[in-house]
Amino acid sequence: MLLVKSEKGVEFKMKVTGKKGLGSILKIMLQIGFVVDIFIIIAIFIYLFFTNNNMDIVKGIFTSSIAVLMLIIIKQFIGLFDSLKIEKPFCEENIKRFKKASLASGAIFIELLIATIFNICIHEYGIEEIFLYFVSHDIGMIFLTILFLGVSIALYILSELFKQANDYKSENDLTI
Amino acid sequence: MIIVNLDVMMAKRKISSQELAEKVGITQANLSILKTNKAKAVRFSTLDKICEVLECKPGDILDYNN
Repeated sequence: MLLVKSEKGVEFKMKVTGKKGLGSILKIMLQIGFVVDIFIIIAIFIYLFFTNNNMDIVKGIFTSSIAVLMLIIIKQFIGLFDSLKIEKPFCEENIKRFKKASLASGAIFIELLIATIFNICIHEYGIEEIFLYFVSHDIGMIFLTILFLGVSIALYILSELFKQANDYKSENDLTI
Repeated sequence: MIIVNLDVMMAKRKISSQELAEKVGITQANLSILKTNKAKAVRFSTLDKICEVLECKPGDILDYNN
């Protein structure tokens, strides 16, 4: 991050690609998140091993599956930022990473949708013992569900954009 | 389909790939891409330089095959 003098005055110039780019900082954050996610999954499985409560078991399986999907998404982004580090962002691997992340986000959306529907329907009938809670308030759950749908679509769009960029780059590389 | 007949002209002028690449200002790898018809496009500046070095016209090195 640098302050650079230009015609308009002083501007911020941030390096995105390369070893000291923004991508490297985000990659470190994602790696920490990756490790924390693994610990969460292990903790859930340890808890499931000792609990006898059916609702807790279902809740634990649901939460751990979402945690595994988040792990997939984080791993794809770590790979993406690795490619930024070597300054090769427009490649086939990144297109596949965006698609995998999109699919994983879509899967989280479906899981949250199922949980939201159960949450709303069953809550009205007061059968609270047999449905799942992720957050204490229904609105938070609905927001999260819509958010992951948006994230899934956005990641798919990004994969298509990167595919187009890769095609242009290939054509440029083969322009003598 | 556009055919690039660089090999023929290079043989006539008795010039190697390395020498031609150096004089034109492109890499040997790119020259190879051009010779093997794998190139997607050629800049006029590159074509101009090739013709200058090989002392020929564009039609001498480019052909069209239906």
